[in-house]
Amino acid sequence: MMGGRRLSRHFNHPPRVERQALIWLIIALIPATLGHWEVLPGWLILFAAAVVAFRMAAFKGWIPELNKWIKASLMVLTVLLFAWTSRRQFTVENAVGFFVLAYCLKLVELKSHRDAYIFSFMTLFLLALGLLFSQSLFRTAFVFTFMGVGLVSLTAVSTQMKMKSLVSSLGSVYRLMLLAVPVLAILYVVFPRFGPLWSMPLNSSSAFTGLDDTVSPGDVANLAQSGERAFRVTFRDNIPLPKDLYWKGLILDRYFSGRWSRSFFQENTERWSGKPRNLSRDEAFDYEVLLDPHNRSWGFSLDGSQLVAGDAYSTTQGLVRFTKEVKSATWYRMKREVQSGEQLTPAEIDRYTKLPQLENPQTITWAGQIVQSHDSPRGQINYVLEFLNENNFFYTLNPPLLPSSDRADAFLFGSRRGFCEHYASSIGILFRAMGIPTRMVVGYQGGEWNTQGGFLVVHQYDAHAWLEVWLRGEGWVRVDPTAAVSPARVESGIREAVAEEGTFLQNSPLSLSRFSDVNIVSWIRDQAEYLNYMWISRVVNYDQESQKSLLSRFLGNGDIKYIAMLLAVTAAVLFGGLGLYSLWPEWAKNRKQPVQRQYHRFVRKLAVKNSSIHPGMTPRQILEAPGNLEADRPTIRSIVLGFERLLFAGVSDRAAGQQLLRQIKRQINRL
Amino acid sequence: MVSVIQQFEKRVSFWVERRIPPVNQVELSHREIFILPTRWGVLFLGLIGLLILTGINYQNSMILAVGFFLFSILLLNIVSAYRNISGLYIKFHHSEPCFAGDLGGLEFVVAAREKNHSSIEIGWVPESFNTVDIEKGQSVRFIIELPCPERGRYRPGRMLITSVFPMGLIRAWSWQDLKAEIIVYPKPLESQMVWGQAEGDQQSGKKAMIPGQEDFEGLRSYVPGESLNRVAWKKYAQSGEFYSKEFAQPLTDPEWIDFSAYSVGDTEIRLAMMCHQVLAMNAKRQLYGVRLPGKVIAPDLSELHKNQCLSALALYPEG
Repeated sequence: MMGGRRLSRHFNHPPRVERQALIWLIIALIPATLGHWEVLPGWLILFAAAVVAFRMAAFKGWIPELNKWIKASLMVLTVLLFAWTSRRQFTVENAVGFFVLAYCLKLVELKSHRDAYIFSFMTLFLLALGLLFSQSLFRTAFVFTFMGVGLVSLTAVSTQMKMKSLVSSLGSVYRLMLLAVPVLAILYVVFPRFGPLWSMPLNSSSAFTGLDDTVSPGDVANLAQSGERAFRVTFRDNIPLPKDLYWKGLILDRYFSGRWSRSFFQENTERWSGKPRNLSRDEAFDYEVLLDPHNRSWGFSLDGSQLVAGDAYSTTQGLVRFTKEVKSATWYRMKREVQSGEQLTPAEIDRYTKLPQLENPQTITWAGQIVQSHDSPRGQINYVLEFLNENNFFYTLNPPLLPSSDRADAFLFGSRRGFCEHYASSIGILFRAMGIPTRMVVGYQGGEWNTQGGFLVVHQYDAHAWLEVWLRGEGWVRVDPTAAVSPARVESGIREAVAEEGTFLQNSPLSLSRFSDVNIVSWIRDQAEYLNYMWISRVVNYDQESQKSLLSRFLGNGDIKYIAMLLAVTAAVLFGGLGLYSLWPEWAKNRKQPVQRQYHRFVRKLAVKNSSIHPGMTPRQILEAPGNLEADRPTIRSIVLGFERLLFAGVSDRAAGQQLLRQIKRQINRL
Repeated sequence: MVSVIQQFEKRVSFWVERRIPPVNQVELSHREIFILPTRWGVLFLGLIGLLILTGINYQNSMILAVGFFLFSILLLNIVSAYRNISGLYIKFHHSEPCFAGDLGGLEFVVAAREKNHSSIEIGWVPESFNTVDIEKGQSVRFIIELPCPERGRYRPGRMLITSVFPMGLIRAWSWQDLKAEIIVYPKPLESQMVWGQAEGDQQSGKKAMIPGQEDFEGLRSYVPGESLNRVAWKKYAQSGEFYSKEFAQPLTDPEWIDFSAYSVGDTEIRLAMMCHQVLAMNAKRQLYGVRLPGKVIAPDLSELHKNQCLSALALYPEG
């Protein structure tokens, strides 16, 4: 009787997707959507949750499936809602948001196998898009971890396995992913890198924190409340003292109606004075900056240094500029140079001393008094700094509100409580009123040393504003009025400077930076920072240049021809390796049974010629089988006799056996 | 154009025939396994291309890395698909005869000797397929049902053994002719047609009817043309349907079901009628024998005898 299982099924997949596949698709949806939570409008996340709940309930049979009219109106409604909330801006964030919306709608109407496959592919793509906004170690780990779930959902869709075996196949998928790592690594290293193939019209809306190119009251103080990282620096040697770590970003030479900004001349100088950029990493350098994306086109540098490598340029004023906004972590290398004093034309002197009339009358009067009492500009400046130090000025992140006009007067002769911006701004006005060419510089000051990695981390709260004055014969000289008030600010950082008042990162009570005093917290922060730094600088920032220098180490030349050759060799190694990996068990087995292997060859060869021969026949049966070609008979006979000796009679010593087998092999070849 | 494709198909099947000769049992190895991406595998390649393009255009290394990662997953899928199907042992075990027009069941044995084999689909395109999961060391017997339209020895030929495990991106398959066959009996044809023990004349059929008239045995559906005497009128009053009373004839002399006794119809119709007669005789526990040109099966009454007779009918004139 028949004891087998009688299950009949059509070869092509049934049109409807199975339940266990649906569960896996929903499981995979969650990380794919949540990976974008920062850029998604809140309602879209709620919508995704509702879709999941609806699908689950329909799946349990609690509620009926929606009919097509409801689905269609749901689609129209959500797309309109999306258009409304995105304010019709074509940014990357909105594109991703729209993709998420389409993805959720796909789940609503998902029915067939085809839909399920497409949905799985969308899951994988959406997971990968999570890396658009951050390529940190954590984000990368997140994406790759949940790729596994996405791949299992593909298994669930394609194979109708039971839930239990799908759960266990999660393990084998992760094993497969581990095996994929070497291939991935090779491809990552040798795949040729080049610039964008076409410019992407999609812009990112500014979700970045960082300095802006105008400074109005409160800007720097806002940054001081952010524990985010601005950039990281590694020094080759000669690490400067903390008080010398002034990272210049912007020069603001125009003071008008209460705010400092860049004049037209300044912007032109920055735009046109760039030296040709140099992408080579071979130049000697003093320090390397790894800039976090801030969506602005400027970088930061120490006084008197020039860019030697990186996709950027230095201006004549020693500032670092990029040709476009920095949207991913970017490196550049700087070399310090001795500068000769710059000469100013009368027109420039005029520009750097320009002040709006009728503003801050008290300050202007005081400026006149100082000029009369002190001869040299040096002496005048020193007098002002001493005055700041000795007259109850306070450094605080919680300054009292100043009136909207005559701020310098109100600050210098009234409140006397403020932070870098207040000091730089009002003293800048004072200097200009004194006839000294003055400009405001904004950037960062100081930084935190990562002992593990040996690099400096500059945070947003290190944002700072100071002054540069032009002295005849000396050129531009840095003057930091804040340092005169609070030496702690420039020597040990803002945390120390406001330690008493406790306003450091007061708006982010859970920021790790707040707890740097606790040893273990600061150690963990150090380690994480170090890992992430190594990750970004060594792995993520592996670009055309690093590829060239790495490959030229092996090939002597970064020529495209060699890269192509290397790719070909890689492909050969990859496929060869894969083939070996898949066929190895068979070969290994065959090697262990040389006689059986030859016998199989023999039978297979004959079976092609003679249909009455099949595996499983004994040598004798083969010899006597009808239909053997007359010409082959003597060879077959000899081979069969040989096999009988080897298999049944037993050959006395090994060497003789091997000899006989070799002889048989030759005879089989002749068949 | 069509003829080019046909020629190509012919060449392919010829090549397959030579490369994989029919065998009784097989353990799949690289000689017999073919691998190609499914259409989803091709689309997956498109997804990889899209990711790499996104990575390049946004200068995003990690998206590029995801592209490479999925590419290596695709490559490893080739290996996994191959390993999943290779080493699978399969053998045709047994088939149960069926009547023409019915589904015939072919029983196979598959065994996993060294590893697990998941989601293996075995069968004939496009008729019927079976999916099996076999764990290491296990063997599974399963039945594939195939429609058998014609009487005779039905050889479905090369069967497809295939799997898209693990991710549906790569299909590994093998064509194997495991010499499976199924004996298809003629489709029984009930006849009011006359048949004689010897060369009876057509009018005397009623008298010669083998279904007896003495002992009531049961009811069966009325067939138009039957004597109205045999209609179960009581049953008709109850159900509104016509039934005929069946009467069993006591065991008497063996009946011969003789090919040459049927004077009408071509060979197939005659065999179909004989088939019906064999079943009827068997049901009535009447000794019967079969006479075919060139073959005589002596009267007997048993399941085995019935199968012998039916096989003889199925395989006629093969013998």
